[in-house]
Amino acid sequence: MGHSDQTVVVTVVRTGGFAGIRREWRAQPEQAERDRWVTLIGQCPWDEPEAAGSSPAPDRFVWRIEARLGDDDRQAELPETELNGPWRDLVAEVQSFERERDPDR
Amino acid sequence: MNLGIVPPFLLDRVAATDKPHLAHAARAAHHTLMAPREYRPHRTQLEFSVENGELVARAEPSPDRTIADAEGSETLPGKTVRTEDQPPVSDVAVNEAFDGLGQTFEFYWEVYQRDSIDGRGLALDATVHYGHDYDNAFWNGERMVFGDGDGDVFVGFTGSLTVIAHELTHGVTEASGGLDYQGQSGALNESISDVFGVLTEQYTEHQDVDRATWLIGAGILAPGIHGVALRSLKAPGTAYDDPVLGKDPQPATMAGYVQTSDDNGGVHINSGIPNHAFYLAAAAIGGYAWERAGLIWYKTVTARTLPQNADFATFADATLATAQSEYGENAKEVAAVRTAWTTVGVLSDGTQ
Repeated sequence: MGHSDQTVVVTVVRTGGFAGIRREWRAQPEQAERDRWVTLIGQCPWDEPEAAGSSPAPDRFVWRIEARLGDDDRQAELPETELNGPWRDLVAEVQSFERERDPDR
Repeated sequence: MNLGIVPPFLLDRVAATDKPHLAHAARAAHHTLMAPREYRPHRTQLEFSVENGELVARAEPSPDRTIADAEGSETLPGKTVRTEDQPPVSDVAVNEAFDGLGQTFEFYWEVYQRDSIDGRGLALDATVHYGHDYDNAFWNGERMVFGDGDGDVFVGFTGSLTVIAHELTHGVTEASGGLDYQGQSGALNESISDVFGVLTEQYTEHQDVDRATWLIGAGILAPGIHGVALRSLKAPGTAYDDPVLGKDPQPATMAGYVQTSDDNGGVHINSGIPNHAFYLAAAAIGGYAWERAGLIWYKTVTARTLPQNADFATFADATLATAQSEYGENAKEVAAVRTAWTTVGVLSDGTQ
């Protein structure tokens, strides 16, 4: 696949929620971890349009997820109710990456 | 707590105190005073009167609450743990949710004669312990859902009456025709929930405009967080300033309006502007905010004449029209509402 020479950066931004407080998590894995991250990113349905006709629900979170694989930038915005399956796995990985690197957060 | 040990008049005094260090005791006393209601076997009180020589029976609504426990899952509704006729349980979150729903019901009924969220006695359902470290509380169109918080930033959401009343008010707005949850109409939707969130607390705590905190979500931030609450209607932008959370981003006036695609167009950010307008109107009118400023806002929201995509100016004009029909063109209430909206930059001088 040749991904191992590319920089992988995943950024997750959560806005909304009752509190309206913005939180951001970021992961830039080491080379040895990159293939696993490329797989995680590849499993997400980046090109699928958002669920049509669903209006935003009050006080639910809104998730913005960005992945950079070398020159390839991908971005998706999801209401909380759509954060399932591979999206949820990716977000959990980014959050735990940051927690392990900076346990005080 | 045993009702027989502490006399009710003393509980009244404790419940009415505004001393910050006695806040917990005040809440506890208030809950104790409320306790007998939980044992009432009926959800409707009957009142009899004679009108035009005929005996008339009136039913006085009372809440019909059911609290469920998701036990850390994200499956709704979860296991039922307390219903209307049952006494308090050992789980504090369950009892706090139960009490908060009841206090919000009482506020809407006693102040605006609104029978529950839909005005037709809708049962009040809630689920606690939703999700794992879930940092949120929301109204999903059918029930209130409370996370426990992650313990680092939030310590749970059931402890704040403003949170509960905020969420139930989303149901009131929805039942009144709704406001699109995007951009300015979304920020109005949020602001209306904040306004009736603080008014429910002020009514419950018998606070006038000067004694009220005007804060949303006091007490739900973890001890290490630098902040007093999530939002302030009196001083938007000052509720918290923390190394992890950043600074409260709310503007108080249109000069600070934030253009963003996050948060459905900044609905929790720009709500600071109509929030502050309400505060200014209420402070200028004085007394208990729910009586006049609150009535103007309530009648405006529930008139079913607001378009779903109403912007700030449309809503401001509607509150002015409500104030005029309620109090007369030259009333001080009308002047207070007009000055409030011009001060925050939504209406310009000379409007109307």
